Amino acid sequence: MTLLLKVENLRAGYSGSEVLHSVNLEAKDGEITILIGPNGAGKSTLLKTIIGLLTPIGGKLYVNEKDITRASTAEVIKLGISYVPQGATLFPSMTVKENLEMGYYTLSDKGLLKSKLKEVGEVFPILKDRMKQKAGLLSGGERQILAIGRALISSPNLVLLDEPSSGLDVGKQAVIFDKLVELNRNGIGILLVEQNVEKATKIANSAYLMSSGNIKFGGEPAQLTKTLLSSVFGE
Amino acid sequence: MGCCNADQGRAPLKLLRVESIEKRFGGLTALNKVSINVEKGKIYGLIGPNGSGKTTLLNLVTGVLRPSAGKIYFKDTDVTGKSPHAITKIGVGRTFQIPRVFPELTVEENVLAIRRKSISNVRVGEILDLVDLSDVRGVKAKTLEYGQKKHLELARSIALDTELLFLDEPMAGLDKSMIGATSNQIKILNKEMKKTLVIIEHHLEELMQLTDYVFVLDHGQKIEEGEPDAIRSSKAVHRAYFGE
Amino acid sequence: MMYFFAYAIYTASWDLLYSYSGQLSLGQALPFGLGAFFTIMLTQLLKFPLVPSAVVGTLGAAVVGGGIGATTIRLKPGYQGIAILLFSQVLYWISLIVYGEEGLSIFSAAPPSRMTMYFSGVAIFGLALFATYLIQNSNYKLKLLAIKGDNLAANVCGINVSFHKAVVFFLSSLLAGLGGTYYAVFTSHVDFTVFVVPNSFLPIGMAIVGGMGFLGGPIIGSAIISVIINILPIWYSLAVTYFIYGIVVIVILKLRPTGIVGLLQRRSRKGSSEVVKG
Repeated sequence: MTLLLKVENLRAGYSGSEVLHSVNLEAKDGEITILIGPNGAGKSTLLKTIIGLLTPIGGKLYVNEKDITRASTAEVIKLGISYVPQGATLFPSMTVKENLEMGYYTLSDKGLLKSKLKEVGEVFPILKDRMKQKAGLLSGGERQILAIGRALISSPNLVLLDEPSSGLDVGKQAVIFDKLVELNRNGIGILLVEQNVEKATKIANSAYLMSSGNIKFGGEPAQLTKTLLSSVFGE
Repeated sequence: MGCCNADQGRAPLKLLRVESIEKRFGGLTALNKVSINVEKGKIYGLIGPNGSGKTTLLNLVTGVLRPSAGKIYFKDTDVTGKSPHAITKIGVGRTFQIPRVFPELTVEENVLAIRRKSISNVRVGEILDLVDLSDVRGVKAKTLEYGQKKHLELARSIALDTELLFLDEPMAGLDKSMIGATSNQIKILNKEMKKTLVIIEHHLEELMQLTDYVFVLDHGQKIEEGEPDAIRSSKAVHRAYFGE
Repeated sequence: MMYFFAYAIYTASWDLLYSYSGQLSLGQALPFGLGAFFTIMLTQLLKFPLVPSAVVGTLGAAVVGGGIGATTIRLKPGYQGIAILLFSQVLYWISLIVYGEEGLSIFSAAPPSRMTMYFSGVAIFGLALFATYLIQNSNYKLKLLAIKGDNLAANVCGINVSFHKAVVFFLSSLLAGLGGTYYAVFTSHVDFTVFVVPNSFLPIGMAIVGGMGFLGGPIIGSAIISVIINILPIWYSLAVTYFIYGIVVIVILKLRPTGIVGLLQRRSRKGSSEVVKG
């Protein structure tokens, strides 16, 4: 397995306060890597830094050995990484189709767009039926699926997902997790931030535990024992 | 399980009666002839897939929306269509799924601004202790973390001293440790403060352990109601969430 | 000096509405001008004595201003501001049509002496200060700030949002009307130009400079701007004067949005007591 994403001693934060303190993480090509930890640990901050929305204070970021530490979001996307932020941020007055097209915005070969739309429709039939519907009128679960579809349209090698199951009922959560496994089987790498520890560890190849801006554990999901988890979640 | 009434032989008090409530938004029927009864002293669950109408039902009962048809009674008083502040004064409180705190007021001021006259300053301090916000009482609410904001909303609800309290996804977005804290707070609200609770939730396992009785909605209709064990094993409920 | 009293209470009326209840008025000249017009109308057309005219005129401004404001309560602040602005322009045209360019002047009664004006100015100024002080240190302030923070949450927490918003609008119009009445009495004149749009933005500029939400903010802001507007024209043209006025407001807005009072408060505090979570 080649190394797809490498995070090295990363430090990052927001106007004056450092949230990530020397974070080390690896996401291997074609694997599902999960990142779990309590609220405020810095998981969302890490994803935002990787995708270029935040500039790191220190440390390095590599994609396939290429240094992306100071790269802009558009550049990172062109290298094959997609991002689904928490809360399914969509363009509510645009249609499903237009939202999906926005995911393709930074790529130059527009000729492929049509076939990409068809592909995403096949992965998520629920979107295929609603192409002309305004995104703002979709239900919560459908919105989340659209957000993931939009991230897929650029044929990424790695998708960063920030709590995709948050706010969804158990049925839709099952659908999301099934789809993630299916996508991974087709070769797409996944870096998944989740609060749903049980469901996430079931599908993970590799797991990281984060707390207060530091990685407390990185390795086999099976090694995430109850003791390890309680030390971080403080039960 | 049953109501804790000092009077013997009295049937449990029907605190809230929702009768055949309907809500239509243009061509969309969000709620279709839904009826529920809430008895004093119990903890109720209100569950169902996304979009089933749970929050709409909550908004109707608390006066945020007007029903298209049907009636709502609190302790035999018709509260259908009354404004939210009137309904709160009558005895029905609520929290929001995404917490709505008063951002520029401090934690303490958030509670002081709305407390009932019966809540003393000492009591305000106790309430803040209960929700683990004593340390940050002088901090502006907008700087709080998500989980703390949810606890502040809960503190405000307690300071409103309502008999009936609706909680809209109190555990949404919380990590494991805060979910545990929330469960404990819910138990205290019911057992010690004698509040009747109706909880909308997606964290089904935790909810089933807390509740005495559960209502299930799907696509705007009540498809099932019963005790947690019955709901767990109900085929209709499973079908609503997972499809055929 | 008289201008200062009028502007101080005028600015306080706007600040009360915005900083305490979150309602935006982009047409505060409406109650201000109504106070002026009603007072002069009563004393000139109905031949009432000066003092009762002033009182009734102010109350009239409060009722009409508060009433108009009450219709805008359910609008979002931006739309509400524009709605009131539009209402003030309606009054602009009505007053122009009815009283023409000459407007109304007080001929019947002799203007009160300077001393009387001065003392009454101090009196109403003190009244406005006192009213603001009362609100600042009461639980009512918390209720209003809650309304300002989140209308729906306040409603759900048992606060009758619509009622209190209307009450504050009435109070704000009362204060603005008082300012307008005072202005009309010491200048002995009012015309349609009292409703011009820049007059509605005057209290906003003054509140920004002085510091919105602070007790002394409107006072300091109106003092500074009054000085600029009344003294600078001695040396410079009106155009330059108003240019400088505009620059001052923009500079304060950019550098110290909390205004002069905010600046002074920051200086006296050691450091920020807020806890910022990552």
